[in-house]
Amino acid sequence: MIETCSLAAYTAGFFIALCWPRPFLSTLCIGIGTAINFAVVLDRYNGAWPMMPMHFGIAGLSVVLSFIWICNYGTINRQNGLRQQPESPILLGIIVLVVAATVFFPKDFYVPFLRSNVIWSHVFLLAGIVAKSFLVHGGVKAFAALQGTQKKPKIAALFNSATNWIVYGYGLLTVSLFSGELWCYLGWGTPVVWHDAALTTVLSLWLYWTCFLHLLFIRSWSQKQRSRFVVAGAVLVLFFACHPDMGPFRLPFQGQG
Amino acid sequence: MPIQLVVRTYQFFCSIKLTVTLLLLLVADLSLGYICLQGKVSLFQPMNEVGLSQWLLTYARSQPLDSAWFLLLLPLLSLLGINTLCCTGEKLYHLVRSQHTRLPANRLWLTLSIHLMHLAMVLLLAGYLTSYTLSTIYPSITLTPGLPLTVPGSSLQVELLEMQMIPYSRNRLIPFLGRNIDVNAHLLFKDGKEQVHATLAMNRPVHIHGFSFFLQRFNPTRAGGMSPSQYIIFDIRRDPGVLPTFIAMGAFLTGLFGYLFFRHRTRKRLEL
Repeated sequence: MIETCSLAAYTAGFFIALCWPRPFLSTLCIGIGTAINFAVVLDRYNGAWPMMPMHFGIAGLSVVLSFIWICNYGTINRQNGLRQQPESPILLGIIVLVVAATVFFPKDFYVPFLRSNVIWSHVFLLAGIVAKSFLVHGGVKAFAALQGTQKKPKIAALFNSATNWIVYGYGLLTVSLFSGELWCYLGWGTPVVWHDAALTTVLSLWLYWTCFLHLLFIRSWSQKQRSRFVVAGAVLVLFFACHPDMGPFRLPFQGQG
Repeated sequence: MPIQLVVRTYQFFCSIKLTVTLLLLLVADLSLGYICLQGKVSLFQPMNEVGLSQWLLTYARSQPLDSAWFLLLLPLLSLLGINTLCCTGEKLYHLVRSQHTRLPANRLWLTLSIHLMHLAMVLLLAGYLTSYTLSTIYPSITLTPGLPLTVPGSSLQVELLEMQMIPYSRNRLIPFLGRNIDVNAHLLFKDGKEQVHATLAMNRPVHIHGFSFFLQRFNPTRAGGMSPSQYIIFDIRRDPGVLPTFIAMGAFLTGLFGYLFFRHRTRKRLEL
């Protein structure tokens, strides 16, 4: 139920930011939504400790994306308005969708497994969540750069900013991947277990962004093509971050006494 | 003629466009793998116990459609390894021989960091390959207190001396209440006159005489449960690919931190 409150706050913040030029009000709504969401996520993590909570990635993603929005757009909106920051409502829209997915497609009923009682499993999970959030934000910036209304210097600045987010996201994704491999080795005796979809998805994303970093060296690719590549990558990140952690459809108050 | 062929092949593998193509193919293949893995986890689980070649001859052969993505992954990763080695080798050669040596210090460190990451990637892939092809695995060995056993193919003896259960100490997870979540299994290794004591636990393997012991399961899982007998089940592995893999990971991370650090310090960016 409490997740539904955070979804309501996020949705209100999104529509206020989109339709009504009251940046403070939208930031307040998002702040409330984030506080509730963060409390829920923290409680879930605390509940599973010392093991790793199962199917936690999607919930963690919404929290980190919210923090990114508040730090980057919450205050800037007050000064410049939404027209100068077209990526702000896009990111907000993604946050609302991700939170809606956690509310309507929950998969948080799985019990943690014993082998996740090791620090590397937590590093794998948390670094992966932050990395995916950075990469999605990079994709949002690249999407904004693709909009026709932008001026050329602004497009270049947006793309450079997107690249910065992606580079740090890639670094964290590498930390996540290697922590996962270390955990695999300690738990199963081999650095890669192919039966686990989590490692397959992280490896897939890691190779995609490795490809992007190589594209920066191919001169024949224009900035527009690279931006499209980044947007496609962000969609892939969202799919791999959300789909494995989504359960069957369930109404928020269903089955509660 | 053969020299020309070698040169052409080398030039083919030195292409960054080939890198991009291979990486995209790998992404597509792994995405397909993600779809194929849904509900088919048991197909890939035995690979860690029987090794790659045996798995290919048995499990993969029996379910070729579900394992096709993995069969495609192996040549793609091999080609990526060769491509990375050729590209980095060529760039390093030019760096040493040509005017690139006059690069500003920050730019030089940035370039070297990137090359370190590439070389680490090659070592990582070689480590994986070694791990999956040359490792010896003795899976699911059961050990009970007072009944020592000899490690297959060696004179090393292992005996379970004592099991110290670690119960779940919190009250948040109802299925875990009263359950043991870990164990400290005190082992005694004997090889001739040499005796070594070690403690085996979940995620805490024991390494001795080139063998590694990985705890898989233990009993009793609950104090006062239905099955009070004490035993541990573990895998014994001799894996020559693990050390190169972890060295490669360390080198890659060093290169990555160097890249992130010097990228900021380099004023003229690499098209970023």
